Amino acid sequence: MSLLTLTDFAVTLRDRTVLRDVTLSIGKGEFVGLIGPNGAGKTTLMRAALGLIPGTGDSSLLALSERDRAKAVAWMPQAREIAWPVSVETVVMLGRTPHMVGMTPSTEDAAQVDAALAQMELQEFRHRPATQLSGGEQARVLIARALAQDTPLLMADEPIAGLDPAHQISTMRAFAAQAEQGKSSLVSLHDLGLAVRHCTRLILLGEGRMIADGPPAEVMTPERLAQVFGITAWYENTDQGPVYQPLEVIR
Amino acid sequence: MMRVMLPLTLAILVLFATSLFIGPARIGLGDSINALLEGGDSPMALVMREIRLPRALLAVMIGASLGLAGAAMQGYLRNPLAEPGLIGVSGSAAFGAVLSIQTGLAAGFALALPFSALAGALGGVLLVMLLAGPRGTSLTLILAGIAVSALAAALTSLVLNLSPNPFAASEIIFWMMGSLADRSMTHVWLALPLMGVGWLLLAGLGKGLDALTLGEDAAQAMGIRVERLRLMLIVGVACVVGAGTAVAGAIGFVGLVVPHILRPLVGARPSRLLWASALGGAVMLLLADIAVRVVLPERDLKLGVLTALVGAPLFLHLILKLRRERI
Repeated sequence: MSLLTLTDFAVTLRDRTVLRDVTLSIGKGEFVGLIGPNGAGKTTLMRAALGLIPGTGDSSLLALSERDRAKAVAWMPQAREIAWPVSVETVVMLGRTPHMVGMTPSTEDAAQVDAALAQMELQEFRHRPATQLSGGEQARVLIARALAQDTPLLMADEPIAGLDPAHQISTMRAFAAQAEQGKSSLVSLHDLGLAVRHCTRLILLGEGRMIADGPPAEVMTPERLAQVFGITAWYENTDQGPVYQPLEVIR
Repeated sequence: MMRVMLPLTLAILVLFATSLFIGPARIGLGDSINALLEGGDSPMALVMREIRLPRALLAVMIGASLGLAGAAMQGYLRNPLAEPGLIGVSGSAAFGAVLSIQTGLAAGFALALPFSALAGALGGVLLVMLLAGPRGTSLTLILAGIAVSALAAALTSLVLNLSPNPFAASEIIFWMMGSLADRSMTHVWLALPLMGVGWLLLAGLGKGLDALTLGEDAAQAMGIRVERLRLMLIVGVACVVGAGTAVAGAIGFVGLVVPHILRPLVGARPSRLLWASALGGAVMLLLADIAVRVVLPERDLKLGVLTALVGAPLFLHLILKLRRERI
């Protein structure tokens, strides 16, 4: 069953075509990395698929009502906004908004929040005001918030930017663990090394078009890297898994 | 939660009772309760029912309205400096009232002033909605509100500027300072239905405002219909502030300061702050209205002047506290 299907999807903002001819489908148990240089349209693609900005073509999510959509997909925007000094637990509980009828959390809500806090290693911060945490810690709180929404699909815009190496890896592992449970993630990334190591599939965007879609080893060819990113890189399947290291700028 | 609500509710009850017992006519405690409950046509009963009761009721209603509207505006705009007057409703309501004083309409029949203030508020809110557009963001709402406020202030100044009648001009200036003196039950009945609608609209915003803590994108993706929320906010604030301004003039600072003071006590959650601020606003306005009668009983000190006098230093104190925390 597909969790997200885009067909001939395009986005035009202020008479400028930002994204065109995107056709893709995300099934169960996938951890999809969305890669591409700055301005390639990664954020635009995800926001339009969610209906946050208007797009043309078909997005399976747009057929759902707002409430059903919020139960089908969780979204972590790039702007890490936490406006008020509310506790970490309160922020993560916000992820349960679409599931709650009134304002009182059920035991299921509490259990999901506990699980998300544990997965992001945030238990010790639970009662601290979220605004007092460091940027990287806040990012983890917001990822936990999205995890607590407990949706089949999770979309996140550069969730690991600004995290320390250990938490970058553990966050990527958290997304991979979701995939093992049959849930899927679509996550935009700039760290190609982590993308190659952890994602089950990569979608490469460049200049508003989809350039490649497939397993990491097939997507990351030297020709495409030169064409899209303008870099060379060292790539090898070692006995510790695939290792990918960007080397030089070639233009 | 209860440890905030309970003291505030108690404070309202005590202050409401106190407000009933303060006035130029010296009526004893027992007599005034008797006069209020038993009724009759004695002068004492009239004073209680037609002067003091509406005054205390309006203080509660308007205070709660300003607190609630302030908390809702701050929650929606995610800005602790937002206040109910920001969307231009109080300014345009004041302009409506000023126009009725200037044209002599207000002297013509009793409710001309509040009605023309309401008409002004309606005009203002329609203009704001037109300017801000149906799909706009919080920024377009702020800009539209500023534009409408500026326009209303300019038109009010124009009326004052061109006023050939110095008495009308001074009446306008005094009216704009805001007061609850000499209001009747008619004013209560006039304001109550509109305020009731506004309270219902604003009280329903809690869940959405909580979600907006994480920004409009995140809230929308959590199933919150942000555009509907914004419409409910604008109409709700317009109802409570329009009705409040129509019967009491412009009373500033309550909607700004009260949510700010109470925010740390409710864990900063916008939904809880709505209720707490409503109660806190009622407390502050009851207190202020008691103070204007106790401090300068002979001089008719205006309520809006006092709230600003108390509110501004309070706000400065909060800013200094905030600055210390940031360092």
